[in-house]
Amino acid sequence: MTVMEVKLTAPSNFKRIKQLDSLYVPRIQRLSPLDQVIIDLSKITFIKPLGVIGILTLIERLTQLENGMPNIELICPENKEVIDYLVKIDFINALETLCDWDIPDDIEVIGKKLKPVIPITRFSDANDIEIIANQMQEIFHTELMGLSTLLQPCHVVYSELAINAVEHANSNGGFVLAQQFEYHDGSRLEISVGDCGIGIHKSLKQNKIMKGKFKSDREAIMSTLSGGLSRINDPHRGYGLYWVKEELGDSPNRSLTLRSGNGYVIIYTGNRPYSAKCKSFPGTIAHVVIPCG
Amino acid sequence: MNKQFKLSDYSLTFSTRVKASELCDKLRQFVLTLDDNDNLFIDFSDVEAVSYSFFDQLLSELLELESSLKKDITITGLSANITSVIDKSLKHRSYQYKPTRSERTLLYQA
Repeated sequence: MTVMEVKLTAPSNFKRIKQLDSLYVPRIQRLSPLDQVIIDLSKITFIKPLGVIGILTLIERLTQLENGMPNIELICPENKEVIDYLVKIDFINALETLCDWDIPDDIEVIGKKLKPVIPITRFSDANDIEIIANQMQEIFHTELMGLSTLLQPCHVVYSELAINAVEHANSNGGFVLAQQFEYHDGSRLEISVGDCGIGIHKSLKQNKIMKGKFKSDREAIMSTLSGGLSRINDPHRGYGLYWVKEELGDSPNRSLTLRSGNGYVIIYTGNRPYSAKCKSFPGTIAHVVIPCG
Repeated sequence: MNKQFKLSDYSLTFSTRVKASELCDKLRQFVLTLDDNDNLFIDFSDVEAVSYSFFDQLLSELLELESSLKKDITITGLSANITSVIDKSLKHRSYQYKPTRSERTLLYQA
């Protein structure tokens, strides 16, 4: 039996949904415990929540393969600020639940203030979702004082995305990371939620009336944004992603990005949605940007 | 008398349909303590955030409860932040506030 080695190299500036193509594992279902997957993070100099959640989602998928989990080797970033960042957002704790990672002994805490709105947190049921929402509310009263009007939109975005992961993805839940970034043109809140489940298209196909309705994964994603499509045959269900899109409203510079299966969709407020084909990636990754000003 | 069921006794944020169902179970216990002349108020004071899924489930169960109780259910204490969610959820189910009262009162089918 041939042992397979797959090497994946994360990009240096890991900030776009399309870059998750770099973590594409061909014939993932065929991997066995004899095979090795090397995830090379060494060149990362900047990584956004969607990249972090993408890495965790992929690793979780690898731990759940039918043939057994392949050997996973994670190569640590060389950039000390990136390592420091990953420590502060609880990436290492999240990884510990999935695989071993030989982190360097000499990790320096750089001291730059960084308090995630929601550090990387695993949720697996409704109770977890409620607990995380409460923690986010507390952060808005402490670290994010002055941004209280953004609690409600952030709450809707996080809640609806996390509910989808728990209720519709056959995934045992997912991961969330939310963080405030300071850019030259202002401050933004960014929320990423991901699960390694069956994806939007396959979830919809569980409803008999949806079978054959969509030609592609990206068509399925686009259609869910209009609301009323669900694996559950109930006219009041299937509006979670629609409500997330609605929450963006007309406010400028808000965006929603969804990647599922081999398609992705990006919506910037005030613009027509952009969709494209991409390499197949486990589950669904969602990323929302809300400017603070 | 007006009897208040205060949501903030349970949490300041509400996300899931499961949580809505749990609250409605508590509400059903609460209504057992009401007299015939009591009015039921669902008080959202101090609640800081609700999701659409939570409110849609709450609404669906409130409507069932309302028809079984034959009693008005009034929603009060809505902050500006969550009013939009509740208005859109009501509209989504083709319901709106009953216009005959001064508060944001009973839901009825438009």
